[in-house]
Amino acid sequence: MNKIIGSIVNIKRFEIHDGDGLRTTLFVKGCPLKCRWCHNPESISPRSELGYYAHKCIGCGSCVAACPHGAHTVDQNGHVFHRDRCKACGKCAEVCMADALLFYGKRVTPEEILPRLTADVDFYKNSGGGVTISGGEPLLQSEFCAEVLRLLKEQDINTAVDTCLFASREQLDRVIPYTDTFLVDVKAIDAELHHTLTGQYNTRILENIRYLDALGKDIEVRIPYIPGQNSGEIEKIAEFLATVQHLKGVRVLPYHNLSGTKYASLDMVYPLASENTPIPTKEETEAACDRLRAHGIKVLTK
Amino acid sequence: MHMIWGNFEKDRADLSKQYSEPHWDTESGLNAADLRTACLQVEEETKGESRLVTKSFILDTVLRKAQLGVDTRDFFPDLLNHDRLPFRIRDRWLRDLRRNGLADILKEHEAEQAGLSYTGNTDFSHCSPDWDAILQFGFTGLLARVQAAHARDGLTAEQEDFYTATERVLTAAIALAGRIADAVEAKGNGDEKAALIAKSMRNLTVGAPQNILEAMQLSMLYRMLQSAVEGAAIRSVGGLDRLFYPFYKRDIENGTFTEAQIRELFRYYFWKFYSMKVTANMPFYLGGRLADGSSGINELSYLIVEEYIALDVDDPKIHIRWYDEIPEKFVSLVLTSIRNGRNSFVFVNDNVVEKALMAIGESPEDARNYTVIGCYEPAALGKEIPCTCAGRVNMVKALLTVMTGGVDSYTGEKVGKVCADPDSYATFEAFYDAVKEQIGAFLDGSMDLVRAYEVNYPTINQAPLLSSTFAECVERGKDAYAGGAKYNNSAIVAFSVANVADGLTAVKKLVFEEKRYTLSELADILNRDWEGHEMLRREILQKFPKYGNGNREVDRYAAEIVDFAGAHVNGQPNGRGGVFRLGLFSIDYRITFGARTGATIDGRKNGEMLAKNMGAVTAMDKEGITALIKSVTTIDYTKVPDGTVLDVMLHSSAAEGESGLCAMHALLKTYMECGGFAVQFNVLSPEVLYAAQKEPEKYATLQVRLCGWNVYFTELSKDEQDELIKQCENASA
Repeated sequence: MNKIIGSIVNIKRFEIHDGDGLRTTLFVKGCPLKCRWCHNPESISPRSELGYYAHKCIGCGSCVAACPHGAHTVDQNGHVFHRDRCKACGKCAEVCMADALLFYGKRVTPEEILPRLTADVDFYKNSGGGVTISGGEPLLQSEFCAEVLRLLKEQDINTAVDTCLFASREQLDRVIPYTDTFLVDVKAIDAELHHTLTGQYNTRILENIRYLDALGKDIEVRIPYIPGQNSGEIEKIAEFLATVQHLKGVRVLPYHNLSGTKYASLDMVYPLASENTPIPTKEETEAACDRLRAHGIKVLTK
Repeated sequence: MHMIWGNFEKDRADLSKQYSEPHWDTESGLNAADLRTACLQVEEETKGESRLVTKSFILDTVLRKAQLGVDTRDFFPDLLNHDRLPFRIRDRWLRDLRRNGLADILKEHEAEQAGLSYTGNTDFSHCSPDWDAILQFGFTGLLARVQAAHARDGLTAEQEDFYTATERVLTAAIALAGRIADAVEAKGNGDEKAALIAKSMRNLTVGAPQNILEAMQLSMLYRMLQSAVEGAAIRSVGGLDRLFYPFYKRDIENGTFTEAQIRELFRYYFWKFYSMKVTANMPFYLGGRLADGSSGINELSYLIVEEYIALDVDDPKIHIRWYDEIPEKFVSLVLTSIRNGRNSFVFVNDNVVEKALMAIGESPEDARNYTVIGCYEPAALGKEIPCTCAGRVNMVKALLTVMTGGVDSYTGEKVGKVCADPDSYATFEAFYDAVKEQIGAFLDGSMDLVRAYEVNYPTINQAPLLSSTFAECVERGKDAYAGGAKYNNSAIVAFSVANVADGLTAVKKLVFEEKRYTLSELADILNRDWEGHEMLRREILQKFPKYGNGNREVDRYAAEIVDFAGAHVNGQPNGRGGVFRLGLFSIDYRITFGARTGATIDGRKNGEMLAKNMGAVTAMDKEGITALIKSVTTIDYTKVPDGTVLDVMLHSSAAEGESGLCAMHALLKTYMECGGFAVQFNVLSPEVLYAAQKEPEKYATLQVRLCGWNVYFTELSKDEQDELIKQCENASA
């Protein structure tokens, strides 16, 4: 049998907003959507890549020596990263003494990461917590994620999958037996708008929500609330969610603009940078919550 | 006319200055200069008597003759113009001893003490009287108990001295309570509140406290008498919920006071602590298992925490004794207070403390009825004089001086016992053994110094007032500082565990595994404070395994070092007939001792602070708080009877709402279940974020929640940081 390999961004312990209790979150790499407001640009591409945080670089040149491809040079003006030459092997990040180079897309096996995912089992027990797989999109690596989840369930650990549900039925079916809670993003109901905002239509997403609901799986929905983007969709989202039987609750995540550094580190363009998208006020966010509540939906706060 | 109740808000501003700008009633007694003359005269007149007798006459003079400073608005009058005279006289006795009797031993340990490898000293500042006895008997009952013991036949001259001295000071204390009652009454001039205060105080001159006001007056007055006059500073007023509960319950049932009135009494009581500005704050504890094993949290525990929250001050500090059955509701109240920034709390683990105290020979009953002295040091209430900070040992300096062949770069002198050529260690194990040997030599040196002071305690520090509350002192006719208590223990506090564990790891890797440097080459690099080797320093800091991240090997070194120190110290005889007990806290020693410690191989620069308490080296706990807790709890704290603590830093966004409270609860509970000793929380404020901007390397592990996930604050750019600070300020407004 071939070893199942996954590509991950990182593992974070002591997460409190990715499901019930105190959790460890595994962030996997690669996402089929390209949301204009994405806060985790390092997890969009399925390929491994390097983040370069110029403001942290001390110009020591360790990376120059470590790189087999000449992607790093240091001259009198300091360090230059030549992304075009980078083969994303990650050797430079291993030797960087300033945490200025971060490697996204480490290839791992489920067994290899299991000890870290289960290290906090005592804390899970005392808080009703567990492990969440987030991303990126976990279902894009459904075999890997299913195996991770299966190993966790073997140890009776609570599991959650944070997903956009843009996935085939086959991909979804793989993780269902080992997933206690689905944390599902709903961005828009209008199909054309969804395509504009994320690069994909939402037909499959809505179908998959219905499918999970029919199976009786616990669903927690998150709505990123982005003024001028999807803020006009709240009413329609509320109408849709009101028909979901196994909805544990809905969380509204107000837009923030704190991801600029990450985009810059990847030489990516932040789609919203030029649009002066405002941070929603408390009142606006609360108003969105109220519209959901008006449909009898339980809104989760904090 | 003052109404009796409802005046606190009106009085608080003036009363906050009562200690800093006291108003002495000039007619009420001697001013400081005249009192000094009177005390020196007493000292002269009693030459040839034991120092205990001299001290008792000095105390008698101060209590009967010093000016009072009563304020009829204050329920707890305790201002006495003692001008710290007994302290000053004791300090002179101590200076004489250092110059004469101790000159040789101080010389012997001069290099070690000058460079702060270790120190050994007196500790008269960490004690607690038997609060149960004080509240049960009152001054008069304590006096009667002493007199009964005194009436026995066949007493030695020393016992005679003890009983007469103790009777003298207790009688003088009763006289003082009477003087205060008179002064309040006279000044009050018919005022209803003054009359109540005076009446309660006068009742203390004839018997035990009969209600909660009298009990609290006695607590406050006794604290002053012992800490400020007698000179053995009280570092806990005991388990207030347990001690005051019978009075509270009875007063409410009988209608003596209403709950609102009792709340007001607590405000005035805590306001005294706040106004005193006692160094390191004025502590008490709440909760804990009672003698019969039942739960110690009662209605008063809640009331006390609520009043502390309402006052919104940093003093008092509150120890919460954690036990398995502690009510979740109470813990939630405390955690909520902490995350709202009123975080003057530390949780101490009953399960561990009881075992640790029993391991140094204390009975199960005594170990259960412990109080928390000072910061987190346990001591059997009414049974133990623990001298919790007598000796101090800088463990990473032991590691450093093994690398230099025994020479301390701060003084240029040899320290400790190990002086082998550093390059003669053929294996890591040989080096590791040498480090332990040097730590052992430091611990021995510190214990030797403490013992040398302690055999002289009877001629330096006498505490008849304190001793009168200890049943064993009264039974034996012996002062508590002369070995009269049931347990006459002292502590050696060792610190920088994380620096040692990280340092051992670095040496193993660089010298014995990768063979990139010899030990003497590394010593040379450290001696030049990493100059020209900044990349090596960064590599060690960034890439080497560190204590506090759940790494088994590094954590094992920490655990082994603690085991070694515990075995070396615990149960060793001290100089007062008791034993030594190991503590593992660094408090501000991390700054003072760090300042005299050269660069260390864990990546620390010359003069920088040492690791804080049981925590990782600052910012080296990169795997987060849960990993830190797992690492810290690999250590067996039943070998640390003098106590230690873990400092948990949380951003306010990680402690918000229901999920934040649940997370804090889970961290606390897991820490305790895994055998942690004590823990305190910081939930961060914008000020801290500003500091993080200025010195990001010290805050690398500060995580912030953006809206649905966490990032590290220092990974954000300046503008993003500013944005977050704004949000944080907005949230705290």
